[in-house]
Amino acid sequence: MRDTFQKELINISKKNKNLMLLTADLGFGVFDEFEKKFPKKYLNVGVAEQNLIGVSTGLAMNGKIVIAYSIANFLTLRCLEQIRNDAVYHNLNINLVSSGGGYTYGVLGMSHHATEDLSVLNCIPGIIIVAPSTKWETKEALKKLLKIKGTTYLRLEKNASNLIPKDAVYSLGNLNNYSKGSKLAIICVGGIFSECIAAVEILKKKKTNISLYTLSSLKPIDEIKLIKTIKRYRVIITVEENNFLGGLGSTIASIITKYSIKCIHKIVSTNDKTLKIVGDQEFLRKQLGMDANSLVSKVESLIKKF
Amino acid sequence: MKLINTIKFSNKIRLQALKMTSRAGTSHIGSMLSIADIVAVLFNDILKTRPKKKNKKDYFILSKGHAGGIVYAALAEKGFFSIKKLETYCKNGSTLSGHISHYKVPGVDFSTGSLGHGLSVSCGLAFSDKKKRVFNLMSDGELDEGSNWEAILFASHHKLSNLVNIIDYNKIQSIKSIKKTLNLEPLKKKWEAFGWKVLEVDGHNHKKIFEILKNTNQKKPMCVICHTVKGKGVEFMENNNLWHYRTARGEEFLEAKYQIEKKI
Repeated sequence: MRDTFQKELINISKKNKNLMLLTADLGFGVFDEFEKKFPKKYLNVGVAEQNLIGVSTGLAMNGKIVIAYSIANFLTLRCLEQIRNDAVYHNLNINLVSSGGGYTYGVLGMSHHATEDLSVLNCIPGIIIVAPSTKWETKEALKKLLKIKGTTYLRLEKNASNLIPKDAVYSLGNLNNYSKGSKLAIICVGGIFSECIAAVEILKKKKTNISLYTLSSLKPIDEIKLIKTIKRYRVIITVEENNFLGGLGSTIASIITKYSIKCIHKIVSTNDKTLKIVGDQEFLRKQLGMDANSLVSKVESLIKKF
Repeated sequence: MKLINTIKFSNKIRLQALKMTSRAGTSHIGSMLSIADIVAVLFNDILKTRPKKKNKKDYFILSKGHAGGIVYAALAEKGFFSIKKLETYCKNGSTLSGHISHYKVPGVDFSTGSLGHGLSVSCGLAFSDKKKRVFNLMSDGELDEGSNWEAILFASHHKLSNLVNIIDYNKIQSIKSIKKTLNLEPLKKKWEAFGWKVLEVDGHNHKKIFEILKNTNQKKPMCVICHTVKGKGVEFMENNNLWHYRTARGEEFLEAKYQIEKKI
């Protein structure tokens, strides 16, 4: 996903003189090519996230289109007030791009488990939040976000699928469809898509077809289009490598309540838990029941009920 | 610079700030009076940006946003918006908030309120357009915020010679003195060690403040330590931290008004 991002960024930068890439001393080797090609557009502010957002704000006030990069928790939690007061309140074109979403850096410990970034930012009015699931979504999202006059957040993870959705039209706040079934649909955001699509494939072999969607942005959401889709299913499972509070789970639940939709909604998330053990992403997903096999079991037990 | 005009201007905005805070029943008059002379010199003699002119020539950020009332007063006196609008300060439905906000307030470059934000933003502004001068005005207590020191490193590393940071050094912070809370001394040496050009000045001497701020021939970011008196201009408010919070009402308001008005 990060590789897709940096390649696309170089393409965009060739045509956009106002673009600037700022990092808080992270992304070793990732931006070498960008820095070589556009030395004046690259700025490492040092290990200083609050200053990263403050400086980004000043640059954007002078007309720059800023990308501010760091590891997810550092970029969102350390400087949350700067994001809220400086970037968002002033409606500036600042694009926060993080690496290490979810348990990408699982073995590095709790400090690097980015499982609240989406939730915390979701509470800020006016920000745009995207957690892409595929390379296609990453590329399309970046193009879209840089054109928006406002503050955005793009959460990147280690691996990304090569799949392209069935209709292949990207717009914020909408569902991208990767599998069609009836009665039950999974909606997910971010890299956990790989587990969801694997679950879909396992179920397909067992002659159970379910739908799989990704939500192109956690914020904004086109509620009307979303409920139209949700209404088609008896069961919705939301899957996110993030806390459901403020995340995908609670967002979809609130829409279901708001529009009085009759369906069963199951939430798969980090479940408001902090993992005190370490492990690779695959291992930690299993601990929380969000790996492909656990998802298959969940789907099968739900299907038995109707 | 016409000294008499600037002095008159400083007392006009003092009077407006007093009226605004008393009318609204809000705090921070001491902080506003502390910077009244610095703000007067900036808006009267230094800043090039004028109402209704589209091309920005410089930026001013009030990082100590709680003293926003005195900047609103300066902007109204300079014609960015009507004096009448000042009457809405901190009133229900107003956009003139107790901490400075740019929203629907012509002339305010940036909103603050939480301390330690202004200098980083000023760094970004100064970095991206070297032709524009950027003035950041902060409080002394604000230097407790670690974010400032991130920005101080950044400014000198990038030799932001178009950046001026002004410290309102009245030596009193929210609850007690700086010395008793978190000592800043040796303040000048600290900034110098971080690679800034540092000048100290009486923060109520208009002529001396002007002489320093007009100088555009900088090679480094410049820090101006303004030695100020909290509550300056109203005797019973001077150096008394009570006026960080208290509103002048009744006899106190009349006495304060009298003391300021006689200098206009």
